[in-house]
Amino acid sequence: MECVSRKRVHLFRINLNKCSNKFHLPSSNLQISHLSSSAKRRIAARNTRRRDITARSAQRFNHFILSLFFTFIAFSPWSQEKHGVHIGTAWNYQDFQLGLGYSYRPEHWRIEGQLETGVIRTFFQQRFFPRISVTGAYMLALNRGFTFGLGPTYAFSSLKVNAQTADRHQWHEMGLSIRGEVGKNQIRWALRSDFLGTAHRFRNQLTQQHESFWSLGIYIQASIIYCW
Amino acid sequence: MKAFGRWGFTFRQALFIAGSLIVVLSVVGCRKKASYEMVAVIGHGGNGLANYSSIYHDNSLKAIELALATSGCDGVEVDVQLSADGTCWLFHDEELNLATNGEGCVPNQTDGYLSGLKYSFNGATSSRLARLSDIPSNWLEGRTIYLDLRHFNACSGVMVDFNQMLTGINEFNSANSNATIYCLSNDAGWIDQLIQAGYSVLTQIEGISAYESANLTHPQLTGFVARNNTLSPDDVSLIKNDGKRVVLFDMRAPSSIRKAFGKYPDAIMTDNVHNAIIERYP
Repeated sequence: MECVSRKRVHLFRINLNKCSNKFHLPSSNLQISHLSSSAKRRIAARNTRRRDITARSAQRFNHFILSLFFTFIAFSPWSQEKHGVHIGTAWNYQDFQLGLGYSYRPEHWRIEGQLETGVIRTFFQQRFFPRISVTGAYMLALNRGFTFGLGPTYAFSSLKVNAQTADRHQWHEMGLSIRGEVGKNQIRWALRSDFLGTAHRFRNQLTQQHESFWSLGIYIQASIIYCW
Repeated sequence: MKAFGRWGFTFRQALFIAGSLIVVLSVVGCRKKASYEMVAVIGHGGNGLANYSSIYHDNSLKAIELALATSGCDGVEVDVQLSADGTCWLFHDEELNLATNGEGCVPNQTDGYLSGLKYSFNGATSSRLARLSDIPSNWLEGRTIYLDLRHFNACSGVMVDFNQMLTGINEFNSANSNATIYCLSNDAGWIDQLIQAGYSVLTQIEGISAYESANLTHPQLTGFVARNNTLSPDDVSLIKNDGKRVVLFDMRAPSSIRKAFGKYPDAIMTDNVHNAIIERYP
């Protein structure tokens, strides 16, 4: 094994700052300066191929390590905050909602309850339109910057459409909630989307009985969370 | 705490401000409103036309049922088109592909074809096209129904056979003797024939000047239908003083519904039945 000076190596477009066993000569007692130019090119080409193979192997290894690292991050409970309160605005088929909520956040789980009110009904039509929802979610991806999860949700809302009667319209909504949170600090931004089967229940004037009108609904919420 | 630092208050203070705002608005929102009980509420196309917040497609049976089942709704308006087999179908648009999985126009299609179609945009649920005769008679007892009769075939460019349409309406009328039926038509020939057949007929006008000419041409008309923003309160009052009914349409938001109620027409044809009923009763 011979050491090659930096200057000569530079001629072969190989950048080595120190002697390395990666640079092999045809014979251990042979000086590279004594070789012919064609031999030098052959050696350089072979060394380049070897170096590429080494680089690709290292790259694969790095990818493997990185995959392990991110898998570890995704399923590790980095966040130590166990509680959260949020304020948010949402939309569904009935109204735009404005609400407050609390979430208990043990590691991968989110158990959340919130109270909302319909903005149009309450503030523009002077008719209180509350909505209460309970959600449980398992966070599949969980790290400091981003969390993502899903789980079941149930919501109940009630509205007195005709103030002349005692009957109230009720909406029972049950379905799947998908949510993501962004933020590293105690304050985080959240986006939530629920796909819900809805039972609109009220006293049917045609049959004079309480009946349900079934449909599918969607609920989209953006909120800001304070965690501690 | 950092996120709100630039605005000069902390998250807890922001939470307090938001909570206080909700309470204040709720208290302000409890003020009493005017009552519009004398103005009838009619569901446009059942439970609302082109209403993204409606859970059922307009002119579907479910939409009609939902509107009529709601306390405070006096009736519905439906769009009637004649099929190639002479049956009255409920459909708003001129061409089927605008709202269903079908092609062509209702007057060119058979009953078998139309009965297999579904609304492509349906708000949230799947619904099929309905016939006029599919509306159960018990739904309309003591209620009002406006039949918007479509006289023109947009695909072939010809008029629809009036006699076949009249036969369909007569059958519906005899099956719903306890309902109040109004016919809407914009064709001068159809208006005259419907009046001769004994129906209460309304036609659409665009402003008070159109009213004067229409009233001169067809003095036997029962009333007029107009967009909410084309008639002022004085215009509505003038038409009502002539002994004609006034029905306003094209309103969805609470503010526009309130504006329509404030003109005191005989009825409003709303695209959001719940909003209208809430505004109607204080």
